[in-house]
Parts: sequence; structure tokens; C-alpha cells
Amino acid sequence: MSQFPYLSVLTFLPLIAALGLIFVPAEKKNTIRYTALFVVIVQILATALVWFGFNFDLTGINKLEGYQFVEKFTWIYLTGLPIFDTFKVDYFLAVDGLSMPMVILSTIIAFVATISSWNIEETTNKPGSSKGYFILLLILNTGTMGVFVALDFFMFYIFWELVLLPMYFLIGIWGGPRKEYAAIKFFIYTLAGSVLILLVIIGLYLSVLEPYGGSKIHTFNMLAMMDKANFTSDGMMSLLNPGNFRFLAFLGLFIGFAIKIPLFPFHTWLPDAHVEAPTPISVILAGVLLKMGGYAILRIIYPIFPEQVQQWAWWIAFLGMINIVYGAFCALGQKDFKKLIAYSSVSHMGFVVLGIATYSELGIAGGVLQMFNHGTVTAMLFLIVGVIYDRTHKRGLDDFGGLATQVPMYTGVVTLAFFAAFGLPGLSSFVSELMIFIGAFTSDAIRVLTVISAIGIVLGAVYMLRALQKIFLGKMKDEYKTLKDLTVREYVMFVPLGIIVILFGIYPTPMLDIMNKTISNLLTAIQ
Amino acid sequence: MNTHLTLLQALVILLPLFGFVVAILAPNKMKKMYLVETGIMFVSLVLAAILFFTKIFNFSEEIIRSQFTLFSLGMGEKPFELLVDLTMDNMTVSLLFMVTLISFLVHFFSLEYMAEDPLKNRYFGYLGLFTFSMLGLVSTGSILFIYIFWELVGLSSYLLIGFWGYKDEAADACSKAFITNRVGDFGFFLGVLTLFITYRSFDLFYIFGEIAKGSYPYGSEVWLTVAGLLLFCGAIGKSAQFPLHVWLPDAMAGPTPVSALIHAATMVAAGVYMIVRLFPMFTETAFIVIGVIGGFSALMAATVALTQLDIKKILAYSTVSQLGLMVLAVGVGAYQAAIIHLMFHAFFKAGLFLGSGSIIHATHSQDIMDMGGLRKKMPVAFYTTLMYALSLIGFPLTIGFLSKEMILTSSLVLGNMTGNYIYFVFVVLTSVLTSFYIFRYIFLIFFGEPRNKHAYEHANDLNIFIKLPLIVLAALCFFFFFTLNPITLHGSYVTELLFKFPDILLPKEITHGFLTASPGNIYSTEYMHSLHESELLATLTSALIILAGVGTAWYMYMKKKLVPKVPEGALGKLYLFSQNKWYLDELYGVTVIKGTHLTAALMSWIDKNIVDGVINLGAWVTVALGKFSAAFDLYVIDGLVNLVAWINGFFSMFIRKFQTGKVQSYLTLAMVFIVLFVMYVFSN
Repeated sequence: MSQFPYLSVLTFLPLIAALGLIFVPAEKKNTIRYTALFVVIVQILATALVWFGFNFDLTGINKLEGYQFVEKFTWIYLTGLPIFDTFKVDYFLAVDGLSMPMVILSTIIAFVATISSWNIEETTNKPGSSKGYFILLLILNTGTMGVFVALDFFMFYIFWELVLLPMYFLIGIWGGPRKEYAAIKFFIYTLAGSVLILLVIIGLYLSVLEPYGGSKIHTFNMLAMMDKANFTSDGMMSLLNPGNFRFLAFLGLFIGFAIKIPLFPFHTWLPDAHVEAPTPISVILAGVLLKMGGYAILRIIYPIFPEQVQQWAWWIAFLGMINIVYGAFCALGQKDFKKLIAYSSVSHMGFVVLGIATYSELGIAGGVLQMFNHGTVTAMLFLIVGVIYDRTHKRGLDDFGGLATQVPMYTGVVTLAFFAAFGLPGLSSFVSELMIFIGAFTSDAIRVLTVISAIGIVLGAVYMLRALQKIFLGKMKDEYKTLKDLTVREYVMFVPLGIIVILFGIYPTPMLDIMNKTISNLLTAIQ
Repeated sequence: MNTHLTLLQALVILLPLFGFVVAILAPNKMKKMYLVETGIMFVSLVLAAILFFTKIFNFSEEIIRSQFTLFSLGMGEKPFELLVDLTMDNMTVSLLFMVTLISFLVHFFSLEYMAEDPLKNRYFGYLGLFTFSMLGLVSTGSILFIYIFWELVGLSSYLLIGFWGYKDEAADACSKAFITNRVGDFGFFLGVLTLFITYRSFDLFYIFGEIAKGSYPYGSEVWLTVAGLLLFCGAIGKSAQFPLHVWLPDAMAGPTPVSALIHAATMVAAGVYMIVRLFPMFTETAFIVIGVIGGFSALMAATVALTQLDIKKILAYSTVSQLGLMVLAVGVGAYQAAIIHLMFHAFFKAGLFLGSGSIIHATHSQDIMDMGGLRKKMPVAFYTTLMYALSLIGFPLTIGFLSKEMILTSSLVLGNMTGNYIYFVFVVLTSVLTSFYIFRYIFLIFFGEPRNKHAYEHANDLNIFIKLPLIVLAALCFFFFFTLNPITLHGSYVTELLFKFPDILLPKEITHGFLTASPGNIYSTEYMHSLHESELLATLTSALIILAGVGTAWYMYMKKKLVPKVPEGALGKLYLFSQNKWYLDELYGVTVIKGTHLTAALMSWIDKNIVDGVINLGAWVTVALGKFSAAFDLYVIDGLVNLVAWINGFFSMFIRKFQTGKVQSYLTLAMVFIVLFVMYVFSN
């Protein structure tokens, strides 16, 4: 416990900066922007140090000893309450091989989103709004980071909800023409999921006892919930209780998390939110927020409700398949560039779900890796839409054509991102998709689903190349004669992402080393 | 020493990739970076040559492999390991040499052909990437890495076909090429997965060993057939076989040197190479399917080539047709014939394309109607093209004669042994048509009167960059580079060394009809016997084929001096059927493509109106409920409250009556109550 609290810094530095920025006058745009940039750079350093000090042999998941960079102490402790009796919340942050890739992803996306937000006043035509924007962005940053490092369910929930609020305002104020509709849809949809999650949290809390100071008290500690021995015999989630609510609890959590992924049929908030959100917010939304769902399923549902997962694995894989194929067809049917990318996210997140439903090391590791890869690739894709939209204020696929010769560097970046998106070998998504497919194909139960899912590979190329052709090939309209190629600021966003996409495509080992032991342990834990 | 060879091999493969990176990342100012890339390509060629000779002379019997683990996952008994696999046998080094040679010649040719293009760095970079992908593809013994390089080949072709993407046909063609290939790759990918889950390995040599031992997917030969055919789907896409051949003719929209590369050394060669590699895993049923698809593609494409007017389209369908023959060769079990024809075809087809490029460059037209009589103006192009054409039809003393003879003989022998002469018929018919269309090509371009005087006046052979590659390739079309015996390849180093069926792949005991493998030979003695007997007949057939095809072409275009046009009557219908490529593009347009887009539109509609509609309906109902509650609140709840208030008020009003404010009435009331109270107290 004597070590430096890296995770606290990672999580709360943005919040502190946000609070500090309240006292900065709104005219001091540069102070505000550079503060935000400073925060993400510190986060990058902190993440790098955590990665550097990361022990690849620890197994995480269900044993405290398996975690690293642990910060755990009692935060709230009330006694003598009605119903609850005692109410104890721990300040409990730690990482393992499951959360580490997500922390790295959040850091990268936070950096990219900050750079992309640099001229938010100009791009959204809201002069003087930087202050509010960056404060909300920083709060959002705390929320996303917190979700991935919190191991106390109560804290997890706070972070989970903390993400919603700034997101609502960021879409609702800085968004496009239908921003109010999109923001409220996003908010209510995810809030509905949160209510389900909250109910299950309370149910679990009341069913689990953990030793504390000589006696046993209820706890929000996720690790305690993963051990069947900790459930009281009469608790509503206890296996011993004949009328237990475990299935309902599983369902509640699953729907709550599935909305975030988003899983069919809960996905329709996504295209609207994406299309209306300003570019950096789309980047965070697709890059990090969607991963919260997949992460939570693995972190919470798998170890706490293993029997239900096993029982419903086929259906989870089925939903994953629907996402892949249905999302791909929907993407192909779009006329709006940004909506196409949004539906491609639906399709690609389907691979994640298919992977984690396989119940194999390869599939689950592939799913986690796919979350990371999709995060970086889709960030590129939304930035790409942003670049062209900033310049032309158009997004329809048919509005463009023949831009390749006019903006060759931009075209190069787009080509890289598009081919990465549909899993070209040598680029990052291929590795994760391959792992998912091998994992899924190995399982007899879901082999047929896997074969159908493979259609997504073909369709992925179809909708991406169709977009590429419509925008960049063919005849160019005269109105684009003055279109400018990428600026230095845009290179700063694209180059790191591009390097990651290529590097992890050729050599994914560093990322896989992080998660290897943890995933193995997850599988042992849920047997 | 073996490690040195492996390093050399890695260098040969990686240098073109390095060239790609250098050329792509070159800043705008460094306009000459493409020269560096060409230089790198030359170094790669020299190293490939060194590798080739070292391997052939010193290690001819060995398969040199090196593997290392990229990553491993899991901790169980059998963790998943992803092995990077570099494998080199004689076939690999031969193809490395062939690919680098043709690639370099294409680079050299492009120096002149693309001289005016502003994006030369990019173009040469893509050529490097293309070469790299193909070199990698032939250098691995892992089916997964074949797949990986396979896709990279697809990427490079996309970039190069779409290099002039501002032209609509190029834009369409590159997407079409990639997507059509991707359809084939769907099967390929599933085949890879099937092999992996069965053998827990991607290593082909290991897998072949297991198959030879009788270990099949799901323990059944049916599934081995399925796995083989799934993999073959990939080859159908890449090697442009029916029904996925439609991309290849459109791929002409790319620069012509690229066409030469695609049609000869890279891309289309990949599919045939793969099925040759996978030869030991095909079952009898698989062989039949492969043979029939190959034969049908060969014949169909040849009929289409008869009537095309675009000189590159003629060559494109010629490629589909020749690839069909190679695939057919695999199908009839002629392992060597397929791979040797692949290599020889690469030389003369690259030559034909570069030749057509020089004509296009000189006349600024691709229409055969703009040409004629060019032999006087472009003697180098003429004589080299004639050499290639003779090779294509299998004229004696050319390499084409040697490889075509093998295919013809093998298919004839298969007929003799099984009574099934369908393959032989395919080959004969295709060859007749081939002789006809390629001499139609020659006669219409180089003989007769110039049909476009302006183009004719300006035509010439251009400079050394154009001429040298043509001459080198034409020289390679003579037999003596490959065998001293002009009649047959038997006993030459090509069959005994380069493309010998590796012993290590020989199954112990396996019977696929004509293939009765015994140690040391994959063919039964009966088969070999029949092979020797049939050679003479095959040669005679071949001669008749050439006579018939070339004779007809000569009669029509030299004697009668016909000009291509749609004939009258029923023949015209056939002519149009051929010229419109059997209307397959149109058929796909209204079925697959339209179907996909309709499905997409339908799904989008469902998403918007049904899936999201439910949500919006829910929201609407919620709002309606809210409005109802608001009204309820206003009129009922609040009404009740108001009612209570009103009742209160009413009684208050009543009580208020007592609050008169007059001291006398208060006192009177007080007195009344006091009296009542006293009475109450005392009554108890």
C-alpha cells in the first residue's frame, strides 16, 4: 500500500482539474485547453508507468492477490441502519489483465479526443463555450477511467452513472440539429439500464456477507460476490435459497450492460447519439463507452453468475451474430457517412459478444483485444468523418466523390482505417477477429452461428469499400477544388492511432501478454 | 548454412516491403524516390537468384523451415500458439525467382510507361507491396500465413487497379476485385478454421501427415472434401475461376504494367499456387469439382475472348482461360503440369500484356479497331508478341508447348483410365479457341491495313525501357532455358528438381482413383505407363489444334480480310452472347448485388421503423401517459385538493359567522359555555 496511488491519479486528476477550471474565466480559452491537455498527458505518463510496472503473472478476477496497484480502504461505514443494518463502501481501485487494456484504451482515446476538441468553439459554432465543454469532458474522463478500475460495486455504479451526465450535456449542447432528441434518447435509454443494474446491486449487497472487524457484514466488494461461500443461505441471490432471483439478476445486469455495448435490439440509441454528437464525443462514445458494456459483462456477470452465463451462452452468441450481420447490412444501407460508421460499430461490437460467448481463452481474449482494437480503429473512423465535416459541413456519401487526388494524405489515412476496420491481415482488428473466429468455431454449439457471422467479413469489405469509392474515387465536384489536406493537429491525432493499428496488427503480443493469465483465471473461476 | 538461406529468403521478401514504405512515406519533395524503390526491387531480384541457385545446387532435397512463436495464449495442456512460418522448398525458390524477375521487368517497363504520372512514388510503392505479398505467400508452410498474404495481395491489387481512381471504371473495378475476392475468401477462411479445429495447427506439412495417417475432420472423408473445397473457394476468387472470374477483365482499368503483374506473377497465380500446395489434402470428389470448374472456366473464357474488341480484354479472358487449364490440371491430378504451366504462362502472359502496353502507349488506344498493320511500325512489339502467342498456343520449341503438352496428356490419360474424357474435351476445345483468338489478335493488330491512320503514323517501338523487358520475356519463351529436349520436359531439371512432388508430402497409402500413391510416387505404375503411351497422340492432337485454330483465324482475317462485327441471324446472337461475356455481369447485377442492396435497405428500414419505432412508440406512450397524469393531476388530484380546500372554506365561512368582533356576543357565548360546563361537572 506504500506505492504511489497511480490509479487514483489516473481517475481523479481530470475531476480535480475540472473543479479547478470552474474558477478560470471563460475567456481564457487557452488556459482551459492546455489544462485539459496537461491532464491527459499526465494520464498517459501514469498509464505508461502502470504498464511498465505491470506484473504479467498475476491472475486478477476473483482474488485480491491477483490484482495490482491495489488501493483499498473503507470509504463509507454506517451502522444501525434499517434493512441494510450496516452500509459499507470501500474505496477500492485495482487493475488486472482485464482492465489494463481498457485503461490503456481510455487514456489513448482521452488524448485523441482532447486534441480533436481543440477548436470545438469553431467547429460547433458556439463561441465562448470552451470552459463548459472541457469541464464536462474532464468529468467524463474520470467516469470512464473509474469504471475500468473500480472493484467496489457501489463505486463502479457511481462511475457508471458519472459517465451519463456529462455525455448528456455534451451531446445536448454541442450536438447537431437533432441534438435534444439524441441526448435525451441516449440518457433515458442508458438510465433505464442503470436502474436494472442498481436493483441487482442492492440485491447482491443484501445477499453477500464479508468478514469485517470480527463480524460479518454486507459488502459491495465484487470479489466477495464472486465467491459462492459468501452468500447468506437466505439471501435472495443465494444458490441455497430455492426461490433465488439469480436468473432475474443475471438478466437485469445483462440488459443493463447490453444497452451500452449496444446489443440488438437495444442499439438504436447509438446511431442517433453518434450522428448528433460532435466529433470528439463520438470518438469517446464509440472508443470507450461501448467497451464499458463488454468489460462489465466479463468483469461482473461472468464471475458472479457463471451458471446463468453457461446456460445462456448460445443466446449471447446468437445476439452477437445478429449484431454482426444486421449491423453490417444496416451500415450498407446508410447514406450518411457518420451513420455508416455508427452501424459498423454495432457490427464490430458483435464480434466482441461472439468472442466472449465462446467460453474459450482464445475467444474471450479475442473479445477483449477486439474491444481495444475497435476502440482505436473506430476513433480513427469518427475523426475521419469529423475532418471532412469540419471542412465541408456535409456528411452524405453522395455529396462527395473523387477526393483522392485532391487530399492524398487524408485518403491514405482513410484507406488505412477502412481496411483496418474490416480486418485486413497485418492490421490490428484482424488478429482479434481471427482469435474470436477460432474460439467460436472450436465450440460445437455455436459453430453454425460462427459461419453466419463470417458473412460479416464479406459485408464489412462491401460497405467500407462502397464508402471509400463514393467519397474518394470517381469524378470530383468543382466545389472541392479548394479542399485542404490534413493539418498538423490532425496528424497528431491520426499518427499515434495509425501506429497502434499497424503495430498491434503485426505484433499483438504486448497486449495479449497483459491479459493472458487473467483470462485463463477467468475461465477457471467460472467452471 | 540453412539459417543463412532463411535470412536470405527473409531479405528477398522484406526488401520490396521496405521499398513500399520508403516510397509511400517519401515527402512530396523527393520526387525520385521511386527510383530507389526500383533499385531495391533489383537487389531483391539478385538475392532471389542467389537463393535459387544455392538452394537448387546445394540443398535440393531439403525443405528448409524456420518457425517462431508470435504469441501464445492459454495455459492448458495445449496452449494456442501462433507460429510465424518461413518455409522454403524448390517450388518456393523457383517462384521467388520468377516473381522477382517479372516484378522487376514490370518496374523497368513502368519507368517509361508511367513517366508522366505525378504520383509515381505511390505507384512504385504499391508495386513493391504487391511483390512483397506474393513473395510472402509462396514462402510459408502455414495455411494461416497463406491467408494473411492472400489478403495483402488483395489489398495491393485494390490499390493498383484503383490507381487511376478518378476514372469511374477504375473506381468500380477495384472495389469489384476486392469484394469478389472477399466472397471467395469467406470460404477460404472457413476452410482454414476447419483445418485448425481438426488438427490444432496451421502447419500444412503437419496436416498433410495427419491426413495421410487417416485423420480427417470430424473423422469423415466427406468433411475433408468440404474443407478442401472451402479452401478452393479462395482460389476460385483469386485465380478468377467461374463463377467469381468477373473481376479480372474489369481489373484492366489499372495501368497496363499492373495488369501484366496481376495476370502473370502475382494475384491470379496465388490461387493456382495454393491448390498445388494443398494437393495432398484433396479427396477424389474434391479433384472432380476442381477439374470441372477449371475446365468450364477455361472453355467459357475462351469463348468470350473470341469476340472482344479491347485488346486488354482479349488477354484478360485468355488469362481466365489459361488459369482454368491449370486448375483443371490439378483436378486431373497433374501436379507438375499445373505449376509448370503457371510459371511458363507467367512469362508469356506478362510479355503479352507488356506488349499490349507498348501498343497502347504508342497508339493511345485500346480498341483493336484503331490498330492494324502495326508490324512495320513496331517490329520489336510484333516479333515478341508473336513469340508469346506461339507459346500460348503451344507451338513446338516454345515453353508453352512443353507445359500444354503435359496438361493435354494428363487429361487424356485420365480419360483412358477412368473412361471420363470430359477434361480432355475441355482442353482440346479450349486450345482450338485459344489458337484462334490469339491469332485474331495478332492479325488484327499487326497485319492488314491501318484502320486509324493517325494512330498508325505516331506508333513506334519507343525506347529501351519498353523494349528490354519484351525481349527478355520473349527469350524466356524458348525451350532451351528449361530443357535440352524440345519435345518433353521429362528428365529436365524443371520436373526433376524444381517442381518434383516432395517426398515428405507423399502419403503412405492413399487412393483417389487415378492416384494410387505408393512410397516414392504419387501415381500408379499403370498411370505412368498410360502417360508414356499417350504422349504421341497428345502431340498429334496438339498439332491439329494449332492448325485448326490458327488456320481459321488466318482464313477469316488474312484471306477474307474480315473486320470484327456482329454477324446476321442466329450466329449474331451467339456473337453477342460471347461479346457480352455470357451476360454474367448483368446476371450478378440483378441477383447478388441487387439482392444485397435490397436486404441492406430492408434492414435499415426495419431498424428505423420497427426496432427504433418500438422505442419511439414507448417514448410516445410515456409522454402521453405523462400528459394524462398531468391532466389527471390538474383536474382530479388537484381537484380533490381544491375540493378539500373548498369544503374547508365552506365550514370556515360558517364558523366565521361567530367571529363577529363584538365583545358582547363573545361574552354571551362564553357565558353559555361556562354554564354548560358547570352543569356538566355537577351532573356527575
